[in-house]
Amino acid sequence: MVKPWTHWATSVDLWSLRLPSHDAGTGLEGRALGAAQRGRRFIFDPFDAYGAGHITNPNMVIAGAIGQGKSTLVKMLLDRGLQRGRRVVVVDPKGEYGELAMSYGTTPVVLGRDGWCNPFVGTDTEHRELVRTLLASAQGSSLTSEQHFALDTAWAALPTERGPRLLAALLDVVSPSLGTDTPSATRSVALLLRRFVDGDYASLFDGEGPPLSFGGQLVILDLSQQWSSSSLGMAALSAVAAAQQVVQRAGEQGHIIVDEAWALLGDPYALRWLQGSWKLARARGISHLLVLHRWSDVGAVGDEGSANRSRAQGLLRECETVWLFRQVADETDHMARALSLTALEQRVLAQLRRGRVLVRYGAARSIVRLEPDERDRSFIDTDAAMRVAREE
Amino acid sequence: MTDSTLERQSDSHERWGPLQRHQLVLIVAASTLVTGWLLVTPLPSSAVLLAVAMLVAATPLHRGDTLAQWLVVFVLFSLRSRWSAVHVCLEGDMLTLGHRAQINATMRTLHHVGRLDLAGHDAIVTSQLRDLIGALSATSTGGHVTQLVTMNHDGATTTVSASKGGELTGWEVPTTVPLFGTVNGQRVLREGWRFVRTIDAVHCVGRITTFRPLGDHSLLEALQCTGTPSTLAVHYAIVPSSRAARIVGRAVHRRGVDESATRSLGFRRSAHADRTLARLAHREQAVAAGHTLLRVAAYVIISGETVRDVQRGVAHVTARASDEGTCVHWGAGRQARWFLWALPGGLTW
Repeated sequence: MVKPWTHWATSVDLWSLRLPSHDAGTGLEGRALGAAQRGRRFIFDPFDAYGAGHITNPNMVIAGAIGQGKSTLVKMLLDRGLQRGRRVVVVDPKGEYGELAMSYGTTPVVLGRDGWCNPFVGTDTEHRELVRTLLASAQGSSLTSEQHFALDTAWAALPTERGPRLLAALLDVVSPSLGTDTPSATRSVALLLRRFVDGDYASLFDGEGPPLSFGGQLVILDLSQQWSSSSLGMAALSAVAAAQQVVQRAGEQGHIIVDEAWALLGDPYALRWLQGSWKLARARGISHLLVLHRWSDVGAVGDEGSANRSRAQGLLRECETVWLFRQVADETDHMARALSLTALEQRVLAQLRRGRVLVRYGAARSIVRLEPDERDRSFIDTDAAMRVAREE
Repeated sequence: MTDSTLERQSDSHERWGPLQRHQLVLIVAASTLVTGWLLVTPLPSSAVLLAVAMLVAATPLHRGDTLAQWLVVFVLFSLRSRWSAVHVCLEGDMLTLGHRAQINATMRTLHHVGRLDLAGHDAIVTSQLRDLIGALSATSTGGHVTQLVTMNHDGATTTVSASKGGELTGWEVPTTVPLFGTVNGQRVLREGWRFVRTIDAVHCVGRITTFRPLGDHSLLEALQCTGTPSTLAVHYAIVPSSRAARIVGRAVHRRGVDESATRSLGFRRSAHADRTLARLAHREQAVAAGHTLLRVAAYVIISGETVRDVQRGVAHVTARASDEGTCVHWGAGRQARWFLWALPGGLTW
């Protein structure tokens, strides 16, 4: 009476009958970040995702307009990392992570007030590369061949047994040139080094007394004293360099969170240095997490087609995990171009509500509604938690 | 669905105008009896009662099923055994299912993370399926392809079975048989009026009879996002390409003749008939262009530990489907047969 089939069709119709359109999840174990749209619990950890072969590096980017849930997500991610016994260093330019620090029994370290960072803990080659980056960044242009030579000469003259104040030691070597009025490469290097030891960048990479020692599982580097000053980029670079040392020293996996990452991306020399360390993230067991409010900030680092802009975009593109919150319309266009978003992704992004995020991890995509649990709510900004809860 | 060759409403019932074939037979028989009673005096009055009964039996009730159909369903349900047995065997990727007849099918499971549609990977899966179906249509017997998505609280699994193996890059050998789990051997089904029970779950089987065009969305999207533990089974019975043109040509011809007869009786051609003819013409063109002709069926099987769980799921899925304009027919009294139809490979089709 009734046939097993219901419709005649042709293979043209396979597209309209296509399956599956559900979210299969990540297949990872752990505390959920929320619920996937058309799926179940959404669990994500960059190292586990790397282990499962979903991504090929653990670096991440979070982008979205203010009030969409970025901070909530960052705190949820890092709390999950901390619970797994990982070291977490937060570069916090606005002093927003105080509550999280308190919940872990620590206090944020205010760079410049509480002490200075010593990022020179790795190999000699790494130190030299970082000094070059710092000097170029302070100068605002690449070091000349003469300056390179002057720096190498000074480096060779450094005592074998040198303390933590590397920049001060270098300045001691080249400082005689400051007494002359004749312009020279050595003098220009000395002038640049002086800025770090006694000038506007003092107390970031060099200072009186011993450098800050970062104990504990969670380190929050508060850069709020540099916020809205011209030294913010340098302070961010200093903090990230220090953070890498902290995490690397632990010899375990760790997270480095750079909030307001535009400050770092805006400096071409810092960007170049960051690109190098980005590539080593996997080998070092470090997951960098950059937080951006506006994707167009990346465009602001240089003109269309410029090396800086390409480098910044390349850096972000190399992050295999991208969390995208809703942006204003023109920002969505920037993002779409930079990340080659599909038409459907663009449509979804424009319609995302507060507390929902489009996440791209490797070749996979999900739309996640953040669902902070009781533990998360204790350190998430109350208003943010309320906003996310209200959406449910 | 403007360019689709898929009719919105089920076209598996033979219809003449708005009537199904058995309705037409009942109405003609009733009319003959009444006419006979009026013209031939020896006919008893019971003939009129019989004619009335026939007309009542031809009356459509719930979801277009007539009283006659319900009577048949009820009688068959009362007479047949409540118990059925299915032999299940999965060895590597080769699935064997047996119930009166036996089918062998190659099975593959798709392992993926996240959502395929956002990255555009659903197009790749569809293209793989199209190639598989195309290869089967080139054979003299055609074949059967089933795509199943099993959704439960742990996630979802997508499986494809095909009567002959084909190349499905990225798909893996399955470890479980959808709806039966991992166990090989005989599985017993017990049929109730509105459900069918296996050793580890209660199921209710629904047939999707009406699709609603949703722009670029999948027609089955809503049924995949209900959050209810369920299995969605889409069957493609593939017509060999050597026969496809003849079958679709015959359908076009028959529809044309029916429409001419309808018009000659003074009926106006309806918009629905126009759309159906256009759809048929489109199907004929598609087949002429080398596309594969298919008979399609989509089943949704709601599973739960108790009948109450399943009823809750059915209510939820029905409401959700209805919101999206999709009609699901839950075949009361036919659950075991529909369950067997929904199994991979088209067992008992």
